[in-house]
Amino acid sequence: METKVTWESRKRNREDGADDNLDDTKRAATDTNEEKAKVKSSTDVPTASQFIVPADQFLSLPPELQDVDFTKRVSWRKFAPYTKEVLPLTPEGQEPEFKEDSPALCFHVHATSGRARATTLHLPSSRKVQTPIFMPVGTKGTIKALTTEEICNDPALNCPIILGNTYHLALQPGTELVRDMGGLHKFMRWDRGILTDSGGFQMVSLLKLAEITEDGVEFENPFLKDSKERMMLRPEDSITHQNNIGSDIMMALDDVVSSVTDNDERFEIATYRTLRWLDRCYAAHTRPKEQNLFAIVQGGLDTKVGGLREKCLAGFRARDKMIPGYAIGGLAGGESKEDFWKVVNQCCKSLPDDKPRYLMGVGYPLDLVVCSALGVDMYDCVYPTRTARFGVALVPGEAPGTLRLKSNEFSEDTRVIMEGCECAACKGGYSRARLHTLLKRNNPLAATLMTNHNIAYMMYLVRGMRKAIMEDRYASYVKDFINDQFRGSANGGQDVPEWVRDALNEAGIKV
Amino acid sequence: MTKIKLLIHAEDGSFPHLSEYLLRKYFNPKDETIKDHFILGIAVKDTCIQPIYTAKESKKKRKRQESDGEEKKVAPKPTGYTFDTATLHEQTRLMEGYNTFAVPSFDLVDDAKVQMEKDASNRLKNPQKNSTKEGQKSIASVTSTKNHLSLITPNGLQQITPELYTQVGNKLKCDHLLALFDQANLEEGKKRKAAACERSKAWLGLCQKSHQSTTECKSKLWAAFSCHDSKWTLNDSIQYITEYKQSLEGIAIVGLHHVQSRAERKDLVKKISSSFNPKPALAMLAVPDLSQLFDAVECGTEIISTSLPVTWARSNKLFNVLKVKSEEVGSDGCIDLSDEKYARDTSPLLEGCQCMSCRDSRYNKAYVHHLIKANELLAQILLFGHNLFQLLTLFKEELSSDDLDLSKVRELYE
Ligand SMILES: [Zn+2]
Ligand SMILES: [Zn+2]
Repeated sequence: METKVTWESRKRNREDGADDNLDDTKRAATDTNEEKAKVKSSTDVPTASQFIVPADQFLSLPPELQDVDFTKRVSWRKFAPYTKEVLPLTPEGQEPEFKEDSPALCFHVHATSGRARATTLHLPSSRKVQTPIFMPVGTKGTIKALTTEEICNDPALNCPIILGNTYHLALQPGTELVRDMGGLHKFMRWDRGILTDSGGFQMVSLLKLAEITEDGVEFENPFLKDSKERMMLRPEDSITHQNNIGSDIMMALDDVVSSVTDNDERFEIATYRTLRWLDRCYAAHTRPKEQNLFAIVQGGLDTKVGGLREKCLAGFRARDKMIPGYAIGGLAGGESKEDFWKVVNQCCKSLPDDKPRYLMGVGYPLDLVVCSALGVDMYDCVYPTRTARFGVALVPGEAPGTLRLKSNEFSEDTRVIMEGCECAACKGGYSRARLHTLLKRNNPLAATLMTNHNIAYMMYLVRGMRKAIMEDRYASYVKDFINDQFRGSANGGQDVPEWVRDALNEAGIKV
Repeated sequence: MTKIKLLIHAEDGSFPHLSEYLLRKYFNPKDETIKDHFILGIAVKDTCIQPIYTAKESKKKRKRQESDGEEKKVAPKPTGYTFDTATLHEQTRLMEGYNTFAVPSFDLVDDAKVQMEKDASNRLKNPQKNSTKEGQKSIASVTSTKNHLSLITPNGLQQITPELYTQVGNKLKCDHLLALFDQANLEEGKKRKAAACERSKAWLGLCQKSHQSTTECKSKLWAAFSCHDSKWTLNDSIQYITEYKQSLEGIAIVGLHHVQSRAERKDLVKKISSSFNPKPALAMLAVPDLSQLFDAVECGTEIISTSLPVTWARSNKLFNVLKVKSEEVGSDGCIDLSDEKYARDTSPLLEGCQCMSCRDSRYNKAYVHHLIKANELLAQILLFGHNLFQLLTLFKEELSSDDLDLSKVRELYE
């Protein structure tokens, strides 16, 4: 290979071709048949062919990693408690300053408590996100059953950022339409943060016939059931869609392999490909001043020294200058909790302390509490909102921390879901019995109230976590939470799971 | 100036498509026009239904609770349901500040039809399950007796006695209370209709008696006038209602929309209102469309109940009351936002509308069209909020106006 893949060469590529590409995209969008173009997007954004490798090189170490010493753990820009050096902190309320190498994100760390951090992500248009944060999922341009007004104005919710699904928006109403409406913020009347996924995960998990090639994710057009027309979502397409949507944070298209797949070779191919696709994503990104593009750490469950997670991390270290934030991917797919926390732990230990870390698809309250102790800042999950619509309320206390309100045991329970909760259901005095009745009758109001409570609970949780970190008492916060959920078999409750104990021990918290 | 009031079915006190936050913010009873023109309708059939457990099962249940989750046992299934006033206030949400009207149901015949359709589709879904018994039972009036009304509730067919109904009614403390009534299907014979009329008469008597004897209750009592036909039961009904005239706030006409011909409907209402002296206050329940709504105003109805805002919302329709007649607007006064032509329409839902969905040019047609296509509940929430607001606007600005010219209003829609 003549061209050594460096950040500089990629940057050149962006400067040379990107603007022309944008115009082509626009032109293409206006004169192609819209229905057909929806998922496919404009094929006119060319594949950045310099990042394509032939099949016989799929398993060879990418050139930028050839000089890396893989006998040592990969990590960069680490501060206390990982190293002796102290991370310079920024006081809360400090105005953001957008730098040239991160023009759409200014990241302030205000406090640390052990490995846990309280930070603010300043995004363009004065949007800001205080972490740790849970991002509710608004798949199709709406948080189901709630108006944006309620999510913003209700102090119990007041969510600073939500997640939109690129795949779903590409299908309906189509991202070109969203772009022409002024972007998703304007379209859905949401002037706060939006994060979009790449669409790849949905393709692989929702469409059985999806196949991943070097070019992208190939799938059958879900609109044309009879025809066998194959369509393609390339990294370039994913970014075009996300540029159209205009999210504040976009996710790179990665080569997703189910975490429970038993094929080491497939994982290795996917890890290296994820690096090449990241380069293609950055090359296709046309709005770097308004939108951030986060990289996603892949590498299966291989956390050993010199393993695949480290290969991926080393690849990102080589590209660190262009990456404003990092996500931990490939989890929440049915792997054991033991494997899960070890990957999270390793990524947090490797990734630089001056950039945000987002753990994808994780949203159980217990996971949030544990993973924040390991150093994660951001979370998203459909669980709290989806489970709400099925009648499951999240509550503190004894594990599993849920109430299945459809169950008959609540038909005469006159208590509210959670004493002291400020949500519309609890503060409004809706008893469990009443919610039980509303749910049994499929009254849409039940979905509204339950969603309201579960999001309020998640926000209550992350606000409590943040406060504890700011006051440097996160360890005791965690202990209280854990002791509350797991009272121990001696006291008629459950014992603290082994993985929780181990993960927290690693974070320096003894329970 | 007559204040024509819109009576909207609020299930057990809340609207399915409007959280309390939105209701209080955009339909606040402190606003005089809301207070004057908006009534929340509480249907007893939706409320006070308590599960019953057999003695054995409730013992088991208690035991399970005592054992504090040590063993997971499945909570017992209720063996049935019953009306019960004891837990009324936990089950029913009575919004403070609003005018409220309690009724047994808005239309017993419509309830039966809906239930039959449900049963039929359930039978199609699981043909093994023998639901014919339920299906036959579902025509409420068939199984009602002198002593009780069979009311179709979300928990199946339940019997309610006039005594219990009045107890519930008194406890609800609504501003208005409609006496328990029976109603026969129009296709049924003379005997059935006469029987329904007899029951309504007896139940009105019982309701009136119990209503008078309660000290705490300040609801105004209304008699129901079930429209069966102009021949057999009309005069009987007029007669018995006249007997209670003194203690009645007014007469609620039930089931008029089942009468097919408009002339016959008009004739019927004219006969009813002219038979009482002085002319009674009139309420009309379950008005199905704008045309019949205008008819109701024309014959002097003050309280009009309709489910139009939610019916429209469920069929993706946006009601437009502004005096601008445009090509788009159908004869029902609505535009259908599911139409593909709105996919890229960036214009506001309705220019100048101040509702929760329109004000500050909040949402545009393209967005709501998208929500409809994506099958999102928010579409119905936004449409319901708008439609209710617009219908209320029609009530306060047009229908209650001193120089109301109904033919002009009609012209806009017909
Ligand atoms: Zn709550
Ligand atoms: Zn409106």
